Amino acid sequence: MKILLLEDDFTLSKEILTFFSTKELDCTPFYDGALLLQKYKPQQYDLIILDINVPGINGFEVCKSIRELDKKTPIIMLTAFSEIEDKLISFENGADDYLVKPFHFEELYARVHSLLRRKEIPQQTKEKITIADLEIVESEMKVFRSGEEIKLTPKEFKLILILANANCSVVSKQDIADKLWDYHIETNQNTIEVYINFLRKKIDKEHTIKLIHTKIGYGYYLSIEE
Amino acid sequence: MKLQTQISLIVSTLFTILFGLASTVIFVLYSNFRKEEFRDRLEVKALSNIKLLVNVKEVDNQLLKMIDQNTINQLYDEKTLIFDSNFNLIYSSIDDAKINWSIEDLKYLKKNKTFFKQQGDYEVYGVFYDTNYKDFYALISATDNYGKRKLLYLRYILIISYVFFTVLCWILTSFTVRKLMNPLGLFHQKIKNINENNLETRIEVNSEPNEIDLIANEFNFMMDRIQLSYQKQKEFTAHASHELRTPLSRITAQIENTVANKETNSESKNFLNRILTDVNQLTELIHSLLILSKLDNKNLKNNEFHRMDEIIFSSIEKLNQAFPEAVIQFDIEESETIDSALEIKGNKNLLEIAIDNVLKNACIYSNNQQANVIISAKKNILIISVSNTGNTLDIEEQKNLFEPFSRGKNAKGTTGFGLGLRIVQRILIVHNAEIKYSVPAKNTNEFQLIFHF
Repeated sequence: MKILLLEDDFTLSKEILTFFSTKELDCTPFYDGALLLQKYKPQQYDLIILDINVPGINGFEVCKSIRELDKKTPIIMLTAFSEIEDKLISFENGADDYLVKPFHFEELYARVHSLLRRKEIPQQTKEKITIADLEIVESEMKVFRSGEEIKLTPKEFKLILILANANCSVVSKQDIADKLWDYHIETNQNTIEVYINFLRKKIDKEHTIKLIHTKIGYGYYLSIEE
Repeated sequence: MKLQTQISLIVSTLFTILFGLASTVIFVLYSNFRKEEFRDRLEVKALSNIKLLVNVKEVDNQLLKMIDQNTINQLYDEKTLIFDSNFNLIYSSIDDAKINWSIEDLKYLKKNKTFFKQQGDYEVYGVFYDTNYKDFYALISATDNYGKRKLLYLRYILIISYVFFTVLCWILTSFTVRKLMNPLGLFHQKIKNINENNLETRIEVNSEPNEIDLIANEFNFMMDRIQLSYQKQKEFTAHASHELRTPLSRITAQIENTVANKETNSESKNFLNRILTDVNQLTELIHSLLILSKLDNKNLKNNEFHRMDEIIFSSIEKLNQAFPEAVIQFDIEESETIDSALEIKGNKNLLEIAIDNVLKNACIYSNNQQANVIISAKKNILIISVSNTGNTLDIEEQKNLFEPFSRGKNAKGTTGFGLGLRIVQRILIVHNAEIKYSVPAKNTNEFQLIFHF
């Protein structure tokens, strides 16, 4: 795996190189943004790490220029600035991730690893779950009812997915709780009811045909029929 | 006492006293004027009676009584007594009416020529009339019904107008002074609300400035200088924090690589790991200082709505990376407005930092690595309650809870700088929200984050 590193701090750059060599990653250092762009050829590297505050052309501009030539290679921005605006600019310029200095090498490696793996996995085909006029596109985390998109929070989306994956059969409150919350979170069952109500308001309220039903004393199910 | 109240009181009291004095003077002067006028009338009457009786030969006692009765309308309950030089009563106008008189009175008359005195309801006028032949004394008494009624009427008018205008004066003075002082009140309100988050506040100054505007103008100049120096201080903190990050990265990187190196012996590794822990703390402190220095609401994007439950979930996820054993009991209380209440307008990153800090604190200071989060909505507020069991804070510690670099006794043995809650409070202020600490039960700490929607 070949990694390109733009970092003007010589010591830090050297240490990153040392670390990557222990992980058997081949890393090429650059200290100047303008020089990097002169030498850059698309698809030459598997991953690019860019510091923002560098001589020549800054990291944001370098990122933007690389994206014009190369849409696929993942880019991690590395900076001493942690402002929210900087993060947004990074993503607007086409960066895939953002790491604030000082960072731990394990954290850097986790992100590098995750991006490299994502690159290897081909994009999933769009899988749709359809119940009556309700459509759930899992890969895009989108839900449509009668063709209109319904904005759900991640937790609400996870809940509708749990119900949809049950193929019209009843899912007990306990099952929902186990799947909805990770093992660090404990809730009482009223909270499940609260989230079911959130979903009902968003999915069923405006429609005559109700899709979310309650099996009293047991759980909930998603079906066109009661 | 407020200046406004003082001015109102002084002006109103002065008016009340002056108007009271003026009314009294008017009443006394008019009363004297009536007396003088009545006395003159009695004198004319007495003298005309004597002249008729003495000088006109054709007029006798009976005729004079007739004349008197016909002119009775002029003076009410009039009685005239005329005495000769030997103090013999030579004429009495109405027999049954009574004038209390004595020889002494007549002697007094001879000496002083006239007198005028009050006798019960009657006023008595006496005159000594000296002709070439004989001396006469006339005593005439009457009640001045017309005059007294006028006086009574005047008294009523004065009392009613005094009460009416005094009340009116108090009301108008209070209203006028309040209106005049209104700019000062607004000035006060604006100054009162100035804090480190709204140093850009300025007071409006009229184009034709009065004294208050002049002070406001100077105040605005002062605020310019304060804001500038505050800004410089913040920029310094921000720049210093940024500049410290790169050397810290170098230190972290070098230590981590040396620790990872197989050739480094275990003693050195332990030593380096201890340094790394300190570097991590330093990083955390710099991060906190940077957040505090950047918490300036006018530069932040606070316009988007965010679901607070999702922000809490994201915080719990982050928390579990640092505290894998921590368990969060999470509940939402059902209510009609809960879904709209959960949508809070603000800056997502800052809200996350606030929730991160509160949850982290709850876990660090918990005696069972557990924290309880309860979300509820009441009227127009969303309450996020975060509680744990463990040592609680005493009253003195609670006072300094949100002060920077303040740590409670329960912080013994934990790392931290006492900036976390300060950051939470500052973030919440920016979002028009507040944080409260309470001890709802023994060994239970509760923080309530209260958002207004």
